[in-house]
Amino acid sequence: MTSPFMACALREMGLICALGSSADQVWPRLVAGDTSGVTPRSDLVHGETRMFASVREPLPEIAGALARHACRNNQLTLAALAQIQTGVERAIHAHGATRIGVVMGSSTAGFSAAEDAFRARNQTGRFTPGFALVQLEFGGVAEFVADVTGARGPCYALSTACSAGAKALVSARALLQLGVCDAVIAGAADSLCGLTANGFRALSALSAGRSNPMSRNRDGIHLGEAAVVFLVTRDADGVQLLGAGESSDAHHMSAPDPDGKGAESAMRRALDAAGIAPRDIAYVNLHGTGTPQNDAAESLATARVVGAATPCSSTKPLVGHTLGASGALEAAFCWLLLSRRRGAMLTLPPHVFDGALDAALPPLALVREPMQVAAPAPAAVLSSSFGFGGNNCCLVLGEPRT
Amino acid sequence: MTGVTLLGWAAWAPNLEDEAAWRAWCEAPAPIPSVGAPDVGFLPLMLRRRCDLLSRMMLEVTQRCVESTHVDRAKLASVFASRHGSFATAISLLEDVARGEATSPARFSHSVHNAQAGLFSIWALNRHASTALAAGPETFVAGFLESLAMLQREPLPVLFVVGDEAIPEAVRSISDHAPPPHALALLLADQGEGGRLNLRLDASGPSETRADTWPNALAFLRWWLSSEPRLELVHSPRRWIFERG
Repeated sequence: MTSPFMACALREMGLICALGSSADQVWPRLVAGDTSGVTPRSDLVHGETRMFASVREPLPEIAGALARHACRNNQLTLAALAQIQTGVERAIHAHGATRIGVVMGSSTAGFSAAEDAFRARNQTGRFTPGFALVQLEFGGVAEFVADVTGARGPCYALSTACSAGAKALVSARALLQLGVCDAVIAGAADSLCGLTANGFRALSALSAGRSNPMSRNRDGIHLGEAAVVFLVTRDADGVQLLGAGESSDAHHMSAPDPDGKGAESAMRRALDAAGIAPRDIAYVNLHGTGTPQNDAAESLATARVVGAATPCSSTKPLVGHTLGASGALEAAFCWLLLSRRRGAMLTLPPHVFDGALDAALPPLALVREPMQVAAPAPAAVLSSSFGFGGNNCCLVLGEPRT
Repeated sequence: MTGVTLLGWAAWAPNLEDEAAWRAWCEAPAPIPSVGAPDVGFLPLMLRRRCDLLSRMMLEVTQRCVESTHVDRAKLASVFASRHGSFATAISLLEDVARGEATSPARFSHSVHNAQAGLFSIWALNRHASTALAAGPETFVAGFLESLAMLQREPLPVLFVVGDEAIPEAVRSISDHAPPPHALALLLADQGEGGRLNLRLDASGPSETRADTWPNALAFLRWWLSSEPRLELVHSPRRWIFERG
């Protein structure tokens, strides 16, 4: 039976992206609009130098019993998991391992390792030692999380392109409401690789410089990489997932419905599920990829739903488009701004772009510089994710409604 | 977990193209050829030419399942599950990248794991929630579970489609499984005309992981068309139990 949306807690959060490898590192750089994580690389797109938001610190190695899972995607995931390990252990102790589920999102799995393996085979006739089929499986990302943490409940990976990370939280919540889990490790991971870099290049979707969302000069995305994990529980305290809305465009495989109807529907469904009026949304984290098509459709939809006064920003200029991870990463940014409230004020991450507003787009209240807004508790914020295949997912996160 | 009604099903594999063929196969299963593809003549040409084998198989079973149950294909939520997705397409993209050759934009955008979900949405003008997942050898069960989770959050019947291509030649040497190409669609709802069943996770844990002769989707179909009261699917460390009623 369809049931009213049961809110759940995003109890713990771990993340790694171009802005750092802990909440304490990422938060000040996020609200400062720090774009120093975006740098040129010439090793990803054949014959071209493009901007990428890479994770530059050394990553934990994957060896021993887990060696078949060794790939950059899982190294990023391991770095994020370490940040919530204590909470996960507590949950396993409290509920038992079979009651702890895993739902991860990804769109790249171990593709970077596979590219190396295929290059080696072209040169030597053999795959790189240790290359395993599981590195090409999206399910491998979830299996890795279960193997690392000891979670033994339901375990799967969603891969709905750029909405996967948001949908992983939606499915985690649903597993709690179904009663099959008492806690779920949910999040997403995507790593830079030649397949996505050349794929978006082929679609003419890569920007020449840093991405420039909502500008009249916008010319595409720059890619990034990230891993994010949450421990999702039934707790009534802590940052809450208050609502979620999913929809499909029924329009085109790689371009959004230009009217933004699918995006609008996902936003309205999320607000309805949360029981929150659009005027009570304190901030919108835009999908804001910087492609002409996304920003046109999204600004129409966003303006129709929350109007021209609700503060909005895209954080992709800072961390890149992390594809399947983006929905979870942007939920993590919302989680951070809610959990780091200062008195009556919420600090919002800025929308970093060239300032050349596109007059053809409906006006949005873009957060032009690091900004604090008065937001009566309990505050709620909206995060949007729209993927290939016209796959849309919007989340409402908020402070506990007690 | 609460039970669910199975309103209808459709399956496809090479040489097994209609219900009568599947009923006969379920009585006396025989090896399934590794080559073949449905013609999906019902799809507009623009969509059909974008369809690789997995898309063809999944849309074929979707169309037959929807037609036989007389539901409105625009008014369904959907879950698409595949262990390897558009495997041949993904391998061809990897080969191009490894050789430094140009990537085909159409092949890239149709290689995403939710390509079949997207094609279904475009064909059916379906604007509802849709997801795509993978879970290794446990993909069928995970998809069924996500379908229950979808039923709980969307007030619509859920189309659950599961399938896989054969393992491409390039990676066959490192694969420990060799599924035949196959797809199965199940239409699930809270109520309506059909058999009831439920899925639960047996907390007592697995005895042993058995080497499955047939993909889980086909093992499920054999069970559903039999009179056995329950089906156990063991994927260490989990033991899943389907029961009628």
